[in-house]
Amino acid sequence: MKIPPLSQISLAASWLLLGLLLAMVADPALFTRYSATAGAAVEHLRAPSGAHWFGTDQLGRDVFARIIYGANRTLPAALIAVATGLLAGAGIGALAGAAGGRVDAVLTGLMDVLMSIPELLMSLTIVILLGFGTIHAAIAVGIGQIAGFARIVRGDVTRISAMTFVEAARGGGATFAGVLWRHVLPNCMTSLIGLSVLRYSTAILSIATLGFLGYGAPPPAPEWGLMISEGRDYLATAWWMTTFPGLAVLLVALATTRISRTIVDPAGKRR
Amino acid sequence: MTRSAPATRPPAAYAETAARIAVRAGHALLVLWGAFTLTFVLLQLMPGDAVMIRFMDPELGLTPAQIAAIRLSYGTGASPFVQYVHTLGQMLHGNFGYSVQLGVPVSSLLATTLPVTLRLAVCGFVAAMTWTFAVAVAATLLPWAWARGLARALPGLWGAVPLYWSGILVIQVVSFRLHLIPVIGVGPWEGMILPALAVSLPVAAPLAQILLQHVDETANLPFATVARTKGASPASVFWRHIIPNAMLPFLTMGGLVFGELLAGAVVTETVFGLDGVGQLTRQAVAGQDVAVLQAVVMISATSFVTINFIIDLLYPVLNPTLRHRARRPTRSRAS
Repeated sequence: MKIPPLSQISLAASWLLLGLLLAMVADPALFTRYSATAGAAVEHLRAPSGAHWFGTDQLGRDVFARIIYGANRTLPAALIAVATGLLAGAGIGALAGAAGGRVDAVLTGLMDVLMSIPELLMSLTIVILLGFGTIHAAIAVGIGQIAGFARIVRGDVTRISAMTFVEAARGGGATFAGVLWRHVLPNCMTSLIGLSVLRYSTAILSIATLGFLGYGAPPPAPEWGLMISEGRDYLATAWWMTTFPGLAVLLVALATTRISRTIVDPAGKRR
Repeated sequence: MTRSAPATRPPAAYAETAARIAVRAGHALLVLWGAFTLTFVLLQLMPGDAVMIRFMDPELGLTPAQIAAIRLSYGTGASPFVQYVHTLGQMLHGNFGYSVQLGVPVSSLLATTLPVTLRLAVCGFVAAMTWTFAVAVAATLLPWAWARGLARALPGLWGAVPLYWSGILVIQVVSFRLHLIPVIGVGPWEGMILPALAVSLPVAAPLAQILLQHVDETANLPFATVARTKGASPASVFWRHIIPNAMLPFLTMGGLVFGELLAGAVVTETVFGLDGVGQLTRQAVAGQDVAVLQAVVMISATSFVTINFIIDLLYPVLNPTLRHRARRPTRSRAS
């Protein structure tokens, strides 16, 4: 039997991981018998063992269980973030690309403004505005992503709008919105979906960052970024408290990046 | 534009260049004004302004009249438009207002924190560049295919590593396990080694990927093949022919890098306990200190715009093909 190439193995592993994560989001209790928030105080700061795979934290809570339940929180939040960035960004980008002229100039200027502010600072501005919490952090991350989506969509729409079949549709009497919706946007889909999946992985990283900084869910919640931040106080004694949540973020980010590459470039021509 | 400028009439060419610079500068200023307006609107819309949060505390026992007076002194009592004009005017004079949380001018806070962050940014930038070129060299010149493949895969891998986590891991391994560099009580530059290392990784990841992509594209162009067939060693082809051409698209990432470094500073300074702009930003968000956050955003936007402006201006100077055109404008489309 021939061993499949490494890229195929990594892709299969990525899909497998994503499937597992979805199952975790659907039913966390399937994966662990421990609670994510209630711990046994006598069992605090235990190293990884057969009973506690990833050890326990300072309150005796099972780290593995907290990571499982944390997936339930972080993954949907990242979805909200990407949806926010995608809808707003695609809307601005499509309008700019399709309308052209003065509208395009103003919206491109707006994009330049958004690009000049680093994503994290943009998110922090929104967090101040909305207040703390996982959903607010997710929306803040999504707003930070608007400019990137808008740029890609504007470029695509401008390119496709100039093609003959779009002109033909317009000549055939279709409305502006009709042409945009039925002919231009479907042709932007491949790059848009690829970017969305890629941004999903950055959204997970960013949401965990906001959680780490303390702007996500309040303490008892099992959030990956928050877990790492709490584990910082036990660096010298309990390495497992920071290592495993970090690995969770890393693996999810790697898996989604790997999958996004196959969408943008199915044949794998470019690495 | 420069293409059509005939070399026989230098004054016209200069005028054209000057006009181009003026347009660019105007655009840069417009973007900055937009960034100010956007953040002002966002932060003005804040529910319950910072003054209220701090002074509404019943334990302070302030009367409503006193609170109104405090609000006025911080400039948050006036109408939004008056505040907007006032804040913009103040900022143009380098006055960023007062930190409500700490009760001191924002500019004095920045004066103490900026040097720390700049030091971190410079060290991080140097480290990031070192990684980037090390990866490009390893992925192109290493004699073993598996090692080249490994070098290629590295940026994608470390780009997914959360910054705060890698920082913590570095502390854990270097300081607690190996006892190489203590976390506390070190000199200003020595103490930068670990933070710079941590902050450089996520910055270097996209840079290395882009440089590698352009190195690959350039390596397949005819002139690289010609150099190879003439007997140049792989290393000399890489350094003399590929890198100078692959560097150009790479340069346009400059502004992005700075943003990454500054955003990275927020996390890195928290992890390593450095008192820089990043730490200041984190505290400002926690305490809803609007003036501080707006100042930080404006500083970062200004740096981004300035760096891009400079790169824009330098681009024709650094681009070998454009230089060629400038010398012999008649063969303008010779590429």
